[in-house]
Amino acid sequence: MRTMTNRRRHARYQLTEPIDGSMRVREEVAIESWDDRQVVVLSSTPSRPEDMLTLELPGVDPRHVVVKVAQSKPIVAPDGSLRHRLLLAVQPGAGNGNERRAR
Amino acid sequence: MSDTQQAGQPGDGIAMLVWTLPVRLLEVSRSGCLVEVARHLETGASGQLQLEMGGVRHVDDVRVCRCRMREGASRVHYAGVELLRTRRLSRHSLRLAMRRIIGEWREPSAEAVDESARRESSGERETPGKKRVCRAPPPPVTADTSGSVRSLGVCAPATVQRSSIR
Repeated sequence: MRTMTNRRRHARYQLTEPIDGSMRVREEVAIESWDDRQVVVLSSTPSRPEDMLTLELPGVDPRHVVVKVAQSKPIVAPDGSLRHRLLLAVQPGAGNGNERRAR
Repeated sequence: MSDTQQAGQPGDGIAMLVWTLPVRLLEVSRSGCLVEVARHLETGASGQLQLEMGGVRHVDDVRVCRCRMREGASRVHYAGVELLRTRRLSRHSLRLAMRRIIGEWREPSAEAVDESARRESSGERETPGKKRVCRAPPPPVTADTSGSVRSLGVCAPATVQRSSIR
C-alpha cells in the first residue's frame, strides 16, 4: 500500500485515453546580434536544429518573429554558467514584420 | 556582418523565445497535471497549456514543477505542471475542465462562475457566512484503488481512474 507524498495536495487521476494538446513555453534570452535574416541569442536551454520558434521582441514596437533554429551550441558564459548559443534564421513570409500582435 | 545590430537594439538585448510543443495529457488533479512532452522543460518555466476537449479549446497558464525523462526513451519527458490562477474563470478555463474530468465539477450557474472568478481574483479563500470547506489533504489512497469511470459533460469521452501514487 502506497500513500500520497506530503508534497501532494490533491489526488491524481490517470486518464485512460490521453488527450493531445499543445504547450507554449517562454524563456527569456539575451540577444547577441540581430539582423533581418538571422538572430543570435543566448539561451539557458538547448534547442534542436529545424525547430520552429517564435521570438518576441519587446519595446515600443513589439514584434513576433517566426524563426527556425539553424544551430545550437553550448558555451560557457562569462559568469561560468552553461548557456546555449542559438542561431535563429528569420523565416520570410511567416507573418514577420513590424506589425503588432495582440496576445 | 556590417548590418548586424548589436544587443541593445531590439528590446535592449532581451527577448522572449517561445516554444510551441505538442503534449499529451496523462494525469490530472485539481491543482495541476502530468503531461508527456518531447523536450526537457526547465523547472520553474512558465507557459500556456492548451487542450481541446469536446470541441472546446481550454487554455490556462501553467508553471513547470518538475520534468524527468522517461526511462528508455531519451526524447520523451514527463512534466508535472501547476495550473496558475492568472486568468478569469470561464468555460475555456483549463481549471474547470480538469475538475470536470475528475468529476468534482457540477455545471454551475453563470452567477456562480462569476462569484468564483471574483473570489479568485480578490484572493478570498472562502465566502463568509457559508459553510467552511475543509482544505486538508485527502486521506491516503491505495495504489490499486480504481475510481468510478465517469462520462464527461463537455469533455471528450476520456475516462479516468485513480492514479497509482508515486
